[in-house]
Amino acid sequence: MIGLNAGLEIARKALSAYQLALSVYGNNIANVETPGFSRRRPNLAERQAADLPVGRIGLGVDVESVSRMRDRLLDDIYRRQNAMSARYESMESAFSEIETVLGEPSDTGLGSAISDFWNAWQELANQPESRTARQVVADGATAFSQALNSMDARLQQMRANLDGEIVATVGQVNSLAARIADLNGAVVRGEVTGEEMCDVRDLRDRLLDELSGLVDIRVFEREDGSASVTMGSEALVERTNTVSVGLASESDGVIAVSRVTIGNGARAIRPAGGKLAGLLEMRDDTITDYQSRLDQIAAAIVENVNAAHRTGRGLGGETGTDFFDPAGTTASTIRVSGSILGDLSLIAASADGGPGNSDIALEIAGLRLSALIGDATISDYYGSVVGSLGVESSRVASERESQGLMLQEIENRRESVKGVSLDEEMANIIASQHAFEAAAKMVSVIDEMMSTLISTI
Amino acid sequence: MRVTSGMVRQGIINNMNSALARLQLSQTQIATGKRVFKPSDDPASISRSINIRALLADTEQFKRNIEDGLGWLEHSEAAVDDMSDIVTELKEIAIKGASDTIDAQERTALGEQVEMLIQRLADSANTRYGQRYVFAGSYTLTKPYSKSPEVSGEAFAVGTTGWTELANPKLVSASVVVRGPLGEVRTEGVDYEVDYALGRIRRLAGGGMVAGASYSVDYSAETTARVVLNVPDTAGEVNREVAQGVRQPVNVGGEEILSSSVDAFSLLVRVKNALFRNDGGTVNQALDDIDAALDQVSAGLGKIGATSKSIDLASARLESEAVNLKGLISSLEDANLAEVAVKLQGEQYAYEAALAAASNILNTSLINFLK
Repeated sequence: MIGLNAGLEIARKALSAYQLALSVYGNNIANVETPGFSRRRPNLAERQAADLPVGRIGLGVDVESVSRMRDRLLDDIYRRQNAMSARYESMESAFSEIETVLGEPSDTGLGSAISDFWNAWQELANQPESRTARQVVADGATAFSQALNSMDARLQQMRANLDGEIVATVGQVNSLAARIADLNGAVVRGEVTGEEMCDVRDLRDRLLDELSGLVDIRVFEREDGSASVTMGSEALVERTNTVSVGLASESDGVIAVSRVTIGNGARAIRPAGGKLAGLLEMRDDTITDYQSRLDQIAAAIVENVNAAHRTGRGLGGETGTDFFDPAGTTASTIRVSGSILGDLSLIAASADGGPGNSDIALEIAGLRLSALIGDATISDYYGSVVGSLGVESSRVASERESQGLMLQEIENRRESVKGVSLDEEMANIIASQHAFEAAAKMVSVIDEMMSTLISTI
Repeated sequence: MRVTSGMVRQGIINNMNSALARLQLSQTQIATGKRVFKPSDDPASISRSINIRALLADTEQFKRNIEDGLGWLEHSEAAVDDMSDIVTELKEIAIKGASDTIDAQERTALGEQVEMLIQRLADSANTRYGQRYVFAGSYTLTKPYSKSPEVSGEAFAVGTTGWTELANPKLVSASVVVRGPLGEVRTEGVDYEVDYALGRIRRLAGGGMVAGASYSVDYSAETTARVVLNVPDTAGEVNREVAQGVRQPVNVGGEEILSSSVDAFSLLVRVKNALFRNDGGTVNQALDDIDAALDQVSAGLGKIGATSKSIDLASARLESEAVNLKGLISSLEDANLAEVAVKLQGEQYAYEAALAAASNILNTSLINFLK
């Protein structure tokens, strides 16, 4: 037999359950803009029913638990995609910087400097006796050398900057890993009693998302609730322990670069995804590749111009002189020989020693038509360098865009599970409000019933 | 799929951003008139565009080369024209001088005229373009021809005590120095005597000079005795690159015009001396050589004319080539303004529509309808 008191108890339970539900919905609304927040749901459950001869009668409602709405599979996909997208993002910005360094197409880029250099020789061929024309050659060659020097220096500077970014990124990886390990401890301790540590898990997931943008990680959740993180085949976080990512400074012959290592043995590793992979790829492969192509241009010009120049004669009949310093055959070291700059009459325009003969100047100007690098002329080769930069850069840009769209798509699917919808929360609130009002009404009904009974006494 | 307010908002922001980015690109293209700002804007055409820029730079340079070459040729042509006039005048003088109807005095006057022609011919042969001597081959900084009244080491074979003619008449008085086989200087008036006006010398009987021995004479003439070439040769070519890999010599050597078949300067000296000596026969004999000299100069003139014409044509061709190349660069790099303007219009509509949609959606919520 159920008494009136039991009815009151049911109403009281309902009042407190819907009050609690309202605060969960309210919290959802309050956190609608909070990054990393996953919406919560109060799990309502009927209380243990009383066994009566007429059947089982429910004894009201309880909030059994409050849980996060989250899809772990989508989290995994998101993180994998995030690593890819972040890699292209860091590459795209580096590529567009390389494009700025080359500065093509324009009338001031290296292409024009090369044309000006050849044309200066033609100008000298027009007036081999003239000091002015010799000055034009010296200036043209100096401008061309300096263009190469400064391009190489800017690329080198880019590498140094990327190295700085790599160091900073490794620092971020370590600090994120440490915080995740801490949160693992909090989750494990907190969930011993059975309830889900929603806020801590949200924070941990947000840090994992962030980490996935830096390096390619895989996350496995253990039974105790802790998240194990691996990077490639290397463990990064295991329960509350972390393996730290290290840096080993070494010289690659030009500048000091930091190699990424892991663990106490300082094994060198190369992350396959994330911002760090993009930075390493740009620093160690892409930029050095463009530098070596500029080196090839420098070497081809120095060697061939010098070879032709040595056969010619200066105004005083001097022969066998090098026009470019033969020691400088790279983009960073190419320069006009000091003795030429000191005495412009040494510029050997003449084949026979006559000051009006300009066959050597014409021969040097004619080098622009010769295949000096493989089967390409200097200008063809430079065109192909700029062309391949354009192709690579636009490939990376469109890759970044499509990876970004895919990331956006996955984020949408994830958001569809975990995100807060104000409309939905409002509807829930209204439903809870009505339930609360009805339960309150029930209290007053039972109150009246009790009054009725009491007044009859 | 469940749609949350965050998703709606993020979607709207993304769409507005990309609409605005497209709008901004079109706007930049219109403002700058360019379509390609960096290699990745059009990787397919960037190499071509670089190559065409290099070609255009070459073409502009060829135009400058041709301009300089034409200046050189014009100076040469004017000078060779003068030379041709000089040789023609020489011929007229020689015809007069060879005639039997004129006397010694008139011949001397003609000889003076020839002396002036020698000066003019030397001036023409030393023509400069800027600082450069155009007929000096590759030795453009050296004045190629210079007149000299001095003769040294002319052989004088002592025979009898009769007069021996020296190469030049009208000698500067007291300028003659005679040396013996051992280099010893003989004494004028004791060993020999000189006829300075007619340029003759003879041994004095009783002097120290021996018949049959060879002596050498140094002297100065009052007029030009010879014209010397101051450079090793004038064959060196002055080349201009007038088209891709095409070298065009734009000079003609002085020797080619003046001494390839007949040495024009010695011819003039010969005629002048013959006139001074009142020797009509020698002048007459020189007429054939004068014709040969005229042919020689005319051939040079023809060569210069042909070169000028051919590089003039090349220059016109380069002019149109440069226009074509500029057009190509423009078509590869420049924006089609009409097309971009239409695109811009469309993008502006799209952007405004996105904004309008955003303002509607963002303002709508269940809250608006709850009382």
